[in-house]
Amino acid sequence: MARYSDSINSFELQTVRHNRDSLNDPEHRLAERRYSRGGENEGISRRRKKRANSFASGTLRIRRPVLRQDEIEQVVDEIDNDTPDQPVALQSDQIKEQNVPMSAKREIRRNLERRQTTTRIKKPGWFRRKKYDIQMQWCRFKLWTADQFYTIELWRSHFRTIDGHFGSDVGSYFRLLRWIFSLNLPVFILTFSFLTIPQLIVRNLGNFDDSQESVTCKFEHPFEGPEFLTGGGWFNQTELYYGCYTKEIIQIWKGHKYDMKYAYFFVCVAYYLFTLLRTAYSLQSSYKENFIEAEGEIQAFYSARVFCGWDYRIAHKETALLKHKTLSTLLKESLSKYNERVSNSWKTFFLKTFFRILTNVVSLALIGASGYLVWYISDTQSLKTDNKFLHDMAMPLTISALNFILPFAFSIIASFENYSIPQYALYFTMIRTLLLNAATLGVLVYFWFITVNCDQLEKKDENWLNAAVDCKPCWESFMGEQIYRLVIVDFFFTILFTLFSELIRFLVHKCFKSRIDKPEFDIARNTLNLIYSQSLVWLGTFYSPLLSLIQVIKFFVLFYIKRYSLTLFCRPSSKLWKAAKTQTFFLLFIFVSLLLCVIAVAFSMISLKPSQSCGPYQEFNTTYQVITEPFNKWSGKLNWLKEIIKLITSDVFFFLILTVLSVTVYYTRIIMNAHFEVVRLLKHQLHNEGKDKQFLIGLLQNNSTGSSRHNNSNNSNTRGNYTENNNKSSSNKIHVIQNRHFDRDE
Amino acid sequence: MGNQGSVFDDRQLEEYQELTYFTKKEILHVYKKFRQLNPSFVDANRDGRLDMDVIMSLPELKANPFNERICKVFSSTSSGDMSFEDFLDMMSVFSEAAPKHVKVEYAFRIYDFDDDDVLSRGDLKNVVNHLTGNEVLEADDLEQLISNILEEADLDNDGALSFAEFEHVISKAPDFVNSFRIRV
Repeated sequence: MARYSDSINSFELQTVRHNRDSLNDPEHRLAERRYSRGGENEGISRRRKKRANSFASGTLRIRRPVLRQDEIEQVVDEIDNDTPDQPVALQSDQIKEQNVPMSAKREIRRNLERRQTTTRIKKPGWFRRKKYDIQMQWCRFKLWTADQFYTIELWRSHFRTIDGHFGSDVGSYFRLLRWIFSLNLPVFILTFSFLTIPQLIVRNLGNFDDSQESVTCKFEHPFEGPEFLTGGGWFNQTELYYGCYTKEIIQIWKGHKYDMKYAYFFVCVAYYLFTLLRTAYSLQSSYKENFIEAEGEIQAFYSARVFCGWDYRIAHKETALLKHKTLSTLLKESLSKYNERVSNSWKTFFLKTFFRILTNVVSLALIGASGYLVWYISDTQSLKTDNKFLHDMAMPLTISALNFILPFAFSIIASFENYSIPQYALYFTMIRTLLLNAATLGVLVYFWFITVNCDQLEKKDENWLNAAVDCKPCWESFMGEQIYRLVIVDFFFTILFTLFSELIRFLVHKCFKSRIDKPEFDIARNTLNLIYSQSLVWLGTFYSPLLSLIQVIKFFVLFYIKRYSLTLFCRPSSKLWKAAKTQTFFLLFIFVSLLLCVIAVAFSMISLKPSQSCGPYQEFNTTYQVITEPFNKWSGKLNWLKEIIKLITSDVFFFLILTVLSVTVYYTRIIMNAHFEVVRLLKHQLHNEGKDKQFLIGLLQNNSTGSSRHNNSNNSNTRGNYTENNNKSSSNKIHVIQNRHFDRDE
Repeated sequence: MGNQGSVFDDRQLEEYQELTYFTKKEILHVYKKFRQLNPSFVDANRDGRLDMDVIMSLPELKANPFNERICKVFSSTSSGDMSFEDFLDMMSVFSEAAPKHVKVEYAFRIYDFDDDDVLSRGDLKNVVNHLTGNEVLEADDLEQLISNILEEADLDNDGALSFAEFEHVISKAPDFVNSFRIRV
């Protein structure tokens, strides 16, 4: 009984209603499920309710090959009532949901069609017909695009192999890779078609509006080879970097002008907005699905392990065997933990806390030290060598090395921390790695912002900077070049890392077959690498518009490298990976990195002075001015419009918006608190109802044992009388309570 | 895909498209998979039924511990043998486009070994034993595990999981949709 009341506490409304009068009588239960399914699902979602209504008694029926005609009629009636006068094509979702064989579904569909052509008296009005027409067109369009996407879906057969051999967890890494790849592709198309093509036209045809000094990047350096790695020299004269885009207005043909200044600005805003929205949307839906909907008082640890344990995509005997083993060990482990309660004394608690503070301090110190190292090296140019190539690559090599080696240290630290839930160790390692990436890149970008920009450098008191620094005449291109190097070096590090961690281990395994296993694919580390290399691109796209092309090529190659290294050298993982929740974390990390990059770029656009000798914004004080200036110069008739725009672009307006947003957040919070209160009250009510039910069950049990005792003990009078009285009183009580319940139901 | 486009005419494909979660090309691909199981038989008689053993030679089903249950649940004669339409039904439920509540219903039926519309202790034991394969749990552990599951999910304390309870507990497990999938 104690357990009973526990579970009642966290019971949800619809299940209480469902079970309240079913008690423990199996026949009653079965009958109830058959006949009253339609109404029991109130309070779940609208969709579920609709479905339940649309097929009363349907979902749990034992499946028969063919439904009886009257049953089909019933289903058809329900669908028709649910969505009256809709064309059959729009009702297909409801047909699909029916838990019956294809032949029955077809029958239902034909019946619906027949009914619509013959028996429908009331035709829908013109407006409604149009609406349905449009909906049908939309559905058809969606199906058509899905059909086309099926043909062009990238790497489908590879995904089948990966999922079949290694399970869908490893597959999730490759899916994320493909997702980021697909994020870069539209960005590349956007920048290429709106920036690079017009620029190429200018360069080759030279048709300027104003034909004075035109192309800033004449081909002076020949292409030698090492440029591929350094991104300097020859590349500096190409459309890869900001510096080569013209400040002029291009005349495409007579009367049609194309202003590169605006194009550059709006294309940048468009791709950052596009990626931000797309990432935010994915994060939002993933969070909703995996955290909000999965929250609740009931912890479904064991049920989740058992009912979601098997990965249905596994298609290989060995993988299946391994999966059996993994699940078995996992269940055994968690059960043994269940049996021995961990004693939580003050001493162990104190030690644990102390140790965790220590490890956090150590990892923060490591992160801080790497940030300082990056600063020190950039400031003093201490890695200066005579070899130009080495000199160019010193900084990217240092940063990539830090970002590849320190995560190993973090995972060692996390293993010392001894978390009770292994997932926490993973999360901490991930957060530390992300901090490390942010710290190294952040320091570097800050350093660039204050030193390579001549204007900024003049403003600063130079004493605290080393004399080795000099400002660059075209600092945007310089930054683009640096980030290009980082991207390339990161690519080579990824390949090397794959070679070392997967190939070498595999070779070692070949030599000592029995002792050392093949390596497992490290999903977390590989995914974090992906996020790091993508944030480089986000940071650099403003300074180097074609960086997304480099990234597209890089990820394309990377996919094949990883895919073949996986199938050739790795073995399926023996750890259980909480794919859904970790995926949300990854999306969160991606979003945060993107946000940081956008902030950095926005800062440089709003408050840094553009280079005065190259790029589209030579004559401006800031890039952002390109938007505000036309309005300042405006001397047309619509003066009020000018005022409005002035107001919108002013700081006051910004703060106004901020205030409105804060008020909205506050308001939503209040509403949320009110909802919590309602939830609390409802829970209280459920608790009371649970007590009601418990009381009823008690009485019933009393009653049945009492009556059997009564029958068996006719001889003992006193006892008999007692039970009889007891029976009478309890049956009265039951009667009263049952009446109460019926009233409520009606 | 060659001549398989001609296997179904456009109207049939259209109809299948409305009755499953697949697009036309996917339906043809599913047919290709079905045909591969026994080409000569399927070519001779497209609507013929393949035996359960033949269906289970599909790699994903071969590796799946619940393969027999899956075949029985999706077979329209409940015997385990499948026609192409049954096969298409099955792949549609396991597809990425199928919504969660449809998947949950079929999962419940797959795990309901004795077809009595509730997951009793016996069913749960069967599920766990199929999951762990050769690495069986000890009897004590198994009992403990079943009790734990019931404690989590059995809200009305009747010693078995009804569909509503099953659906409720699945809603707390976000990994379900992802694991209950087979790629076309």
